Amino acid sequence: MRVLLVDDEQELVSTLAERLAMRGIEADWVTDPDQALERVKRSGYDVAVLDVKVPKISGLTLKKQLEELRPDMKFIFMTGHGSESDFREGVEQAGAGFYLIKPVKIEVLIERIREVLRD
Amino acid sequence: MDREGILLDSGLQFFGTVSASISHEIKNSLATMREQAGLMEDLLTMAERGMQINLERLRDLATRINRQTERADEIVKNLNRFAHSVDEPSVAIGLADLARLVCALVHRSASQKGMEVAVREPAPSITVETHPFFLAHLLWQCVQFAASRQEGRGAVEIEVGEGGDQACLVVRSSGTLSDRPPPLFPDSTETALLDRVGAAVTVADNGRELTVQLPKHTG
Repeated sequence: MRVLLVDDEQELVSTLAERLAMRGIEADWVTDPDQALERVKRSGYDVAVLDVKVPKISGLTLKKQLEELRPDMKFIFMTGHGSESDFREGVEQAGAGFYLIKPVKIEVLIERIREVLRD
Repeated sequence: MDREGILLDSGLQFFGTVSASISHEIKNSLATMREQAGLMEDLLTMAERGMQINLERLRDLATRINRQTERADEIVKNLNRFAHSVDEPSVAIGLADLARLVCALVHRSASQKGMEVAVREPAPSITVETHPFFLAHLLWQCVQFAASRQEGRGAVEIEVGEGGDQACLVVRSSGTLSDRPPPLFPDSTETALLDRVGAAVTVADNGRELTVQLPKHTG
């Protein structure tokens, strides 16, 4: 299982990747959409965990761009802002299915990763 | 809508936008601290199970958590200053201080668009007497306008200066200027704000530069 984490908070996303690795989940991290597209072009990931607000474009737009490269990839969104209902509506419209509100518990994130891969 | 109605409506929007942005920043700081504390717990659990851990790593994590608390504290200080900007209808304000506050408030939304915002203050400390909230809102509008004039990544500079008995805030875009014709500036919101704070604005260089002038405080 390979996971790509995308969030402009470098300390957050690098620490999350390390904690996932300690639990047996291979995880890479990037801090902007261009880096995410480069990584996915080079190699496949099973799941991308995206912040809804990444630099330059929305997380939903990035999802669409990543899907064009890897149609089988699954997505989970994270957000630290906005109302939960607004966020959920936006994510459902984008077809992502799963969302998490920051701060995220690592066990919850892992559970969602496993769920999204089962679907 | 009359001037007061415009100020109220747009002021509420401004307050909401800034509050939402700040809450997002605080959440990010908290989320980062949570992960770093969680990693410390993971390492300690490993140590309890007899695995060797690097104490310097733990010290480094503690330092990083401290840094995040300092960051969050700074964010909350700015929020507090912003919140208190509505306390008095007219006070003496350090123009550079206000510019730095707006710069901090706009930082996150600007960096999301690949934009940097910085304050330059070549002149000595300059004070004006006006409503801090409405002046901050006006400066925010100027920065948004300057940012909208740019294509792609760029920078917006706020220069604090003076000319005779007037204080000046010059908001300048660097980077590639958009081909699109500049939107109207000042629009009805900006006109109401200019009127409220007792300022005038000139737009130069196809919208690349805005100069807001208002009387210096001499008391």
